[in-house]
Amino acid sequence: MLLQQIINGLTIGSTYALVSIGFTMVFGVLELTNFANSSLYMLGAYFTLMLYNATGHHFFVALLMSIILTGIAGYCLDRFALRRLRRKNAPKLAGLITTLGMSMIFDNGIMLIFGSESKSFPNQIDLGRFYIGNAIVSWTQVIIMVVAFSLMAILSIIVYGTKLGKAMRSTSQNVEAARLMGININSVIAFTFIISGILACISGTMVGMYYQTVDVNMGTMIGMKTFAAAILGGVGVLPGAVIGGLIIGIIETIAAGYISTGYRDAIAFTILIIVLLFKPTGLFGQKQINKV
Amino acid sequence: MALLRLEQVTASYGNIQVLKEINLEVNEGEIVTLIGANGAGKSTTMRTIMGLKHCDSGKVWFGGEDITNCDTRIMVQKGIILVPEGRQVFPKFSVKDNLVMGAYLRPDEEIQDSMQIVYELFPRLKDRKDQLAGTLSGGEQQMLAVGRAMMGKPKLLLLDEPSLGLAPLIINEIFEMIQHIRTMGTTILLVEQNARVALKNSNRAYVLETGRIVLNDAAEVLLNSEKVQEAYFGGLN
Repeated sequence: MLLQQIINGLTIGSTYALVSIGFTMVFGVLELTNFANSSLYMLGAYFTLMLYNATGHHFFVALLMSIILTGIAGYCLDRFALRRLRRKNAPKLAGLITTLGMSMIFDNGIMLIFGSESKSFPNQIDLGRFYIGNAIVSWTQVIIMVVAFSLMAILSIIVYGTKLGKAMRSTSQNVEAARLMGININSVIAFTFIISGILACISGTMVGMYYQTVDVNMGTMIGMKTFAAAILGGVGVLPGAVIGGLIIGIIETIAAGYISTGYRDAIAFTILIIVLLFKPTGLFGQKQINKV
Repeated sequence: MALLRLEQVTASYGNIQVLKEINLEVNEGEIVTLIGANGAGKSTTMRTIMGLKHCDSGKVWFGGEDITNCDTRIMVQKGIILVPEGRQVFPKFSVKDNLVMGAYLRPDEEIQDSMQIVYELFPRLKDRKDQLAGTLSGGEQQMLAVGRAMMGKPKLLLLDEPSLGLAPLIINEIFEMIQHIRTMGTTILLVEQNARVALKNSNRAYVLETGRIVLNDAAEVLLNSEKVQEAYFGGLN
């Protein structure tokens, strides 16, 4: 029973982690809470579904095109809604409200086109299931975890091993100093938004497959979860977002399994609050070193 | 011909004009200082040269090219590099990684050579090359900030308040370094509140007062000028 819950928790937690990485990367670079991140998750799932039907049920073609489209949506979010604010030195709060507004535009746009009812989502890679002890593991779960962890590995190579990654990390430490090195800040930011769009799209599609359904509000709750995951891990810290996502996923499924399904979110958030009371910077967050 | 020339440069924050028709020249091989009180517009002048702050009117020329309001990236490419006020090193990067960032626009194969030069200039940075920059002392951070700028092979090095918050002994060390950098063929424009030390180490200087250049002469002349002594040396003769 416990093993089963942990497996289910890891599955859902790894999808949280993906979205949370995108969220925390944007925060790291811009100190901006991107509320539209979770809309990209929903948007990605809908793009995949739409393209799946449009391409005559070619799942991987649909997924690839959906990844590109959601990446573009992420880019547009920054290019057309946020860049101008940065140039005008608008307060951070203006950017935050803009992302909230963009999130509503995305959500309502999708609702306008597809309607508000849930849509059934095909599970194209349903390869059956197997047992570990008494716990049932479906291949879908295995694939979700493998994809999620491979993406995290690729991403850490980009962030910690490439010149672009170094430009991102220096921008997150000090934007002006990064600019003085000759780094093109706008491209770094655009790249970050594209990555967060791609991660959200893949995660949204996988969750759609897992539950075999998507709906317009799927972004709202995951928005809260990934926000929580990023803060739990220490916002702006990539490994923190991964661990935070996994912990929230596991706590949630265990709470649902042993206590009550209805209270699972409440329990997950209670634990988040308790952790923050003892470690306000999150599990992996560090206090800023500021020396003058 | 001057390496850097500012022509009637005007800049403002909102409705407040902070630079009023600034004219300024830096010739190749010189150390030029801008002195002035807080809020006189010294840092804004530096930021305008770098393209971090756009000017409302006027022109900035570098090596005969009009670079007014170009992107900061272009300025760095052309060889103007600013060491900003308050050092602004990357606290979570090691000393070495900070230096590598300074050569961001340069080909990878040139990085090693430049790093050797910087390590010779600041042996202390070599000793601490794997230490996180955020854990260095203020003086060491200033050395790192200057070293990082040198990694970009500047033709013109802009230094904004390099002595800020440092002990007198360290300040001397920093200014010796500035002299040394000049002998390496780098032209230097310096902003300082510490007017006496700055003037002793410069060829020429400009005095800024509320956004205007009020005096402009050889450094020695200004060092001995009564007006400057009264206003900027605080009477501690």
